[in-house]
Amino acid sequence: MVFSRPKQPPVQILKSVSFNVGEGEFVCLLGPSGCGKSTLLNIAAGLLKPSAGTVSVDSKIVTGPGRDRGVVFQEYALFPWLTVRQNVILGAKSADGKFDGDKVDHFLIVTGMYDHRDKLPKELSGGMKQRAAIARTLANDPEIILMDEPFGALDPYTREALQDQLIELWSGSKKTILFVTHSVEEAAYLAGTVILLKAHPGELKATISNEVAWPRERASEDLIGIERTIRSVERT
Amino acid sequence: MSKERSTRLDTLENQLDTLEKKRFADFSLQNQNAMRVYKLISLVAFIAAWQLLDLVNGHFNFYNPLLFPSPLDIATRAAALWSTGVLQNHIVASVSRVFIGTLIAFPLAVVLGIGIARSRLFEVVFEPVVELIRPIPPLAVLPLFILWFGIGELSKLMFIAFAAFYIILTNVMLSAVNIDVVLVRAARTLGINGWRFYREIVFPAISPDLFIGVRLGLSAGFVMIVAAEFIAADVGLGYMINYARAFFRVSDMFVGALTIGFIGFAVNMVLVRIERQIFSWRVIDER
Repeated sequence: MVFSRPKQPPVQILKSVSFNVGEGEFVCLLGPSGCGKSTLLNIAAGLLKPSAGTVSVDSKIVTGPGRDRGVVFQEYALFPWLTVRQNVILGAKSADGKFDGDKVDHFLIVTGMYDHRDKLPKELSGGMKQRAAIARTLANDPEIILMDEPFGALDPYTREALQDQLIELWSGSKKTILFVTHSVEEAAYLAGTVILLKAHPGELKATISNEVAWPRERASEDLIGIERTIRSVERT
Repeated sequence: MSKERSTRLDTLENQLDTLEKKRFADFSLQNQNAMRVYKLISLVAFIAAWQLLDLVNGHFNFYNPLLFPSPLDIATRAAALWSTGVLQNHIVASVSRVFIGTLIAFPLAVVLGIGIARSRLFEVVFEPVVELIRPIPPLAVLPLFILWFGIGELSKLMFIAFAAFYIILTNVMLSAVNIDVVLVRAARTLGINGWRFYREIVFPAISPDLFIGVRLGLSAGFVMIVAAEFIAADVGLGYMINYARAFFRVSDMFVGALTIGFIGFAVNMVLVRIERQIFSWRVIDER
């Protein structure tokens, strides 16, 4: 992936990166800033066109954004003029503008946003905004959920609560999740597979599989072991 | 020990009490409500001084009172013009021209503004012409409009539309260019495309700035309409002012000028109120 910039030489963000994500897997893309993990996610979402290489879903090459791949952004990206429920409805609407109200309420309930459904985004805390955004993405019913440092802007307590909620949603739905983070701890806790990238230009460094069974316990020996493995590979 | 503590609490409550009382009896310039009252007083004082000036001049005659009437003279004339219904006729004529003219400009400005901002094709076709005409002062084309559209209503409506068009267009264009990229991306990944994207994302996103554009367009319209009515009109506040000049009715000129100023001010104030109501979802950036 090469970025051409106005009045500046083009810059290579990503070099040889290749990996597979199986159906229903929870994969974390982990790496320092500048490793192109967000760029990679945006390419997968179809929001950026790679200068070389392809992303394919079920052997179909990605050419643009599509409903099969939902995205959760770090900036929440709720439409500020709509209430929480209206935001989720926008996700649930089919191309002809129809939506299933029960489905909308279901996703508001599972994300714990039902009681706040009539609030505007500006009335919500960061954690609540992200829960609403997740409900909206789920209501769009994608096969794959791409998450770009979704909890990066949240305080540690809220982050942990949302991580647990996400795991619950994931194990209930068995959707495929590709999750970008720069937190080793977060990757070790959430992922079944951690894909480690290195920076300048972004390159695949290692793939570490995390076999620790659910429910996982934070700061348990097993997870710390995974963290150690990740860190030791990072140093090489 | 506990007695000492309770007295301490007592003094604390007293302090809170006095602070609370102070809040109501705060006559300082830091109190917004007090400031409002003071501003009203200074306005009244100004008018009173003007009236007093007239009174003094009545004895000493150091200027011609015909050229500079007193507030009371103006108010009397206003009441007289109102009671015969003449003033209302002029108001209705001017105000409806401003509103209809702005209304004509509205759809074109919205479509072109969004189009130029969000579509390369629109931009390449329309932007050069739009930018070529933009720096032309509306007054410069007024005589042309009179030749083209006659001295009837149409020339004045088109003139107001011309003035309002660029103001609304600029607001819409800037706003549509600056729609948060993340919102656009979110919409795309949710499968919101084509016409739905414009209706459900772009339009609501720009609506506050569009509303401001309309408000500013109307304000400009109230400024411009007077000039248009000087040149070609047989009714309207601008006409009234110019007609009064020919007959040396200075009080009428004051009535006309103050009326148009007041209407522009009132319309703006009402729209600002509405704006705050319907766009309450807007996050006010406090930085």
